[in-house]
Amino acid sequence: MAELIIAVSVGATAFWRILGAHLSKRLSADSMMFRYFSCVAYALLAALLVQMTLHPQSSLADSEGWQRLTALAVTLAAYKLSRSNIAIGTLAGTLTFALLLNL
Amino acid sequence: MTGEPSPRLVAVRLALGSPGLSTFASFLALGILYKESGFSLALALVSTAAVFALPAQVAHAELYAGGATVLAVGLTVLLINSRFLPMIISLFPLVRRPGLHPAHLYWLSHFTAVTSWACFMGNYRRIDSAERFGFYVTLALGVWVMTLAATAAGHLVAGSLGGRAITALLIINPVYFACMILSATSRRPYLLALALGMLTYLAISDLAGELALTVSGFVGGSAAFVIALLRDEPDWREPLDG
Repeated sequence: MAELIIAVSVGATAFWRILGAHLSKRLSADSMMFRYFSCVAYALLAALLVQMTLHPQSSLADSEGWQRLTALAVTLAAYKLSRSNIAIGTLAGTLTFALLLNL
Repeated sequence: MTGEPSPRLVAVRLALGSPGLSTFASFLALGILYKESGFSLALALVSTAAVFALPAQVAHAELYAGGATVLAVGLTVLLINSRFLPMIISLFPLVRRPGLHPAHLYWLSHFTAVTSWACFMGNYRRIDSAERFGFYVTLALGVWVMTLAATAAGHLVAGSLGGRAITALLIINPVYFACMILSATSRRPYLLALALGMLTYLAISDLAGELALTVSGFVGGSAAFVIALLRDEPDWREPLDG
């Protein structure tokens, strides 16, 4: 069963990647279509981030929403204050969340 | 320029540095989750190697542990990973070089994920267009190798961590994701797209169910695109490739 789950996941993922590669073949980076899909990409990633935070499909759902949102807020603040250091932002948010879980 | 590191060396540094380490931590948590959900080490590694999409892998591990049907898992993964379509379309025209055989784009698409996408977007302007393909291949493969090592490490240490520790580690996924997305751009139309994507999802998530993600992307992204056109954004007039 686990093997089947993975096989289905591989197919469901490869479908989008291969389609994206195919459609991008003749697209120019200066075209309006390129800019449009770039906007969609950023919007989709932002929506995914909100979903992962507010409606996690993992045991992260065992935590409170305010704990996850606080961790995210600390992450963004630390990221900006550290002049866009990804590791510092990630570490700050993770430690904050760990502290909140243990309160 | 003398003293400038080669693009491939920059790519290796990114894969092993801050972005790569954050990815490592995320996939470490995934390895733990796989062990807790009943996946063998071999299957966990096959999944990371062949799916290579963290949010979808987290979802399928949890759904499997919860007894979901194969159809439910497949549909969930299909919807979560719809992001790869616009991600790759917005990436590959910047990556490819004249004379590159189109077949290379197909295999390279497998190794495209948020970390490599965001790192490329944040750095490509500093790299000569003829060298961007080599830069991206090195970066994408380096990140992929990191995720395999992390998945294995997580699976191996899983038994020594309690439930709260695992939950704490799972926050790494969204917080690192947030940093990666912000690192990818400073152009106003795309920052607007980020905001509108978030707001659209918040507005429709209860109504649209599993489709909320895809709908939010296209609705929020389309709105940002139209607003940028109407406002004749200065950022929009700059060439994206250069």
